[in-house]
Amino acid sequence: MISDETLMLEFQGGSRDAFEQLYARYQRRLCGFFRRRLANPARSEDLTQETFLAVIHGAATYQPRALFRTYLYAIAMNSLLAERRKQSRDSTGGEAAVDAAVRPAHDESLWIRQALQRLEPVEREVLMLREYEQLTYAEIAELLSLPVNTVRSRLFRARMALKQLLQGSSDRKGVAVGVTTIRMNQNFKGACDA
Amino acid sequence: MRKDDHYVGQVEEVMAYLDGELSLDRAQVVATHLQDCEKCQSIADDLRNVCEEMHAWQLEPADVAMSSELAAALEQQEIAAQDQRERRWLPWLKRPQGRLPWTLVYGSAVLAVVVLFAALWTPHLAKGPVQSAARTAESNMQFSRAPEQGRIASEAVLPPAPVASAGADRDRLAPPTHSISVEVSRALAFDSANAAPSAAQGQSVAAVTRTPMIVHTAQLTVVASDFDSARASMDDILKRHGGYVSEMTTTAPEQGERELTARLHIPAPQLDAALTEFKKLGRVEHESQNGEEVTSQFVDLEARLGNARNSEQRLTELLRNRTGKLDDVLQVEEKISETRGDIERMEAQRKSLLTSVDFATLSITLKQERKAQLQVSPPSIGTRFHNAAVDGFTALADGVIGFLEVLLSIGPSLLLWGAVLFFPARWAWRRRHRVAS
Repeated sequence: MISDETLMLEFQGGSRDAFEQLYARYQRRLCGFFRRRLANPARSEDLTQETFLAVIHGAATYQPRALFRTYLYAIAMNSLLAERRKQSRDSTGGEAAVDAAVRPAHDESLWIRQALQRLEPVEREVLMLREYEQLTYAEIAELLSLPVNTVRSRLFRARMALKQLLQGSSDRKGVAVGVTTIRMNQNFKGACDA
Repeated sequence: MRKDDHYVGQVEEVMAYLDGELSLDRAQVVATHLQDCEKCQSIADDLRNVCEEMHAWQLEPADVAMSSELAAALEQQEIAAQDQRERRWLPWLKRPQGRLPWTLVYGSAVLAVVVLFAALWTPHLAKGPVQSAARTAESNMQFSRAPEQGRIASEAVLPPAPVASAGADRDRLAPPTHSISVEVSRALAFDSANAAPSAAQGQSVAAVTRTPMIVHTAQLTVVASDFDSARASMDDILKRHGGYVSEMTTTAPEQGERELTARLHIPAPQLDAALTEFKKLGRVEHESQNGEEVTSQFVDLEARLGNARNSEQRLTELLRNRTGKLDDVLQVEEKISETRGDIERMEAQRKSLLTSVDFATLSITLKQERKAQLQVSPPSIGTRFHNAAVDGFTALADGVIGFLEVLLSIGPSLLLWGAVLFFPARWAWRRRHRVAS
């Protein structure tokens, strides 16, 4: 399998196929990156396109000093920050951070999103980059301009904090599920009686 | 890692171990520790659970189709990359006169050698068009030698010049097909100015290498007994042969002979006839002729000119068809301007060279024959009185002016010394006078 960096250099030399391969490799992951952080899925797709557009425009000056993945997520991170600034200026729909406006598809993910929402922004970002984008500590450090040891300690803190939050959530979730079960049983009993 | 002292860095190391971020030696240490330490096992379990719970948040896979804007940008990037590749050749295009001619020379030499070998080693191939091509290559090689060798080659190939009045040197220097050379040269000038460069260049170079291009120069000194009529005849001869004067100087000293020095330009085929007529103006005191072959110089100039034109055309197309950054556009425009300057300079050289070939330069000196004149009639009496009066007045004026000049020059010193010596002299005189009395 050809490496991302080789493909990017080929694209720099004018190969359209190389770019299409890179696009195929990263378009879903990049879209997921934006969808997990923004409320509007359509806007996430737009930002994905804009990120690849920036890759095209910056191809002439690209140098394979770091992994292409880091380069790509750095552009995506800049796009995300710009989008958040824009949203905060407009303050029409409000920035939904991780998931406030994303309508939950499953209850499980709802607890996760809510728990993530309560984390500190930097710790949340470190955790999400590690878990969802599968970036290494060094890549996260480069992306967020932090020392690697800081990334490690913040990741640990974020995981521990999330564990606490999820424990509290699961307690509440357990209560909610119990209430639902009792109601269902009552309904079932009522139906049988009828 | 000991079991009883779990500080933050150590539990973080357990996390790094689970994430695969530890070096091999540290990973072995932590793995060994994890087998025994229940606390760390508990932390590791917690971390694994958190990861599992986080991955419960899965997004529905959605493909993002490439937008039209992205496709357009991709297209533009392809064009830009192509431009970048083409720009690598720009240094070659920038100095066509420096590099491409060498490439052309090497390529031509290799081609000529291949054709020669093919003609010599395969006799059946030496017949027909290939044979003529080989002969052309041979003749090209002959004419592309040094001027002296080229002259010998032309002498061997061409019949002797049918000019009877010229000397032996002149016979050697004058090619009989000179008029063809001039016509070809003029045709070349027309072609290069109007027609497509590549085709015209190929034909012209081939035609020129078949006929040597020679720049003729001649020097002639004639002593004429009747200077005025010789001068008039010279103008007539020049007009009759279609020549022109580029420089002329006439001197007429009071007590000496008149002399005319001129640089004449005469159509090269007419040079012999014109020289014959000029020599009839009087006694020939000095005559010399010279011929310099400029075929190789002209061929080289043609090749450089053709390359420069091609470069300019390619750069113009590049500028017209490609889009890019402003700097790149300015750079290409600058190169076009440089190339245009080179082309104009080479065209001027070419024109000058063709003019030198078409028109022979004759440096002629026309001298008046020396005639000693005897002064037989003495001046009249009135003239002598007049001259004496003028001389007397001139002498008087010169004397007065000279006296004034002396007075002005030594007057201040005389006054000073007079003032200094007046009183001692008066005292001495009075004393002497008193003693005497």
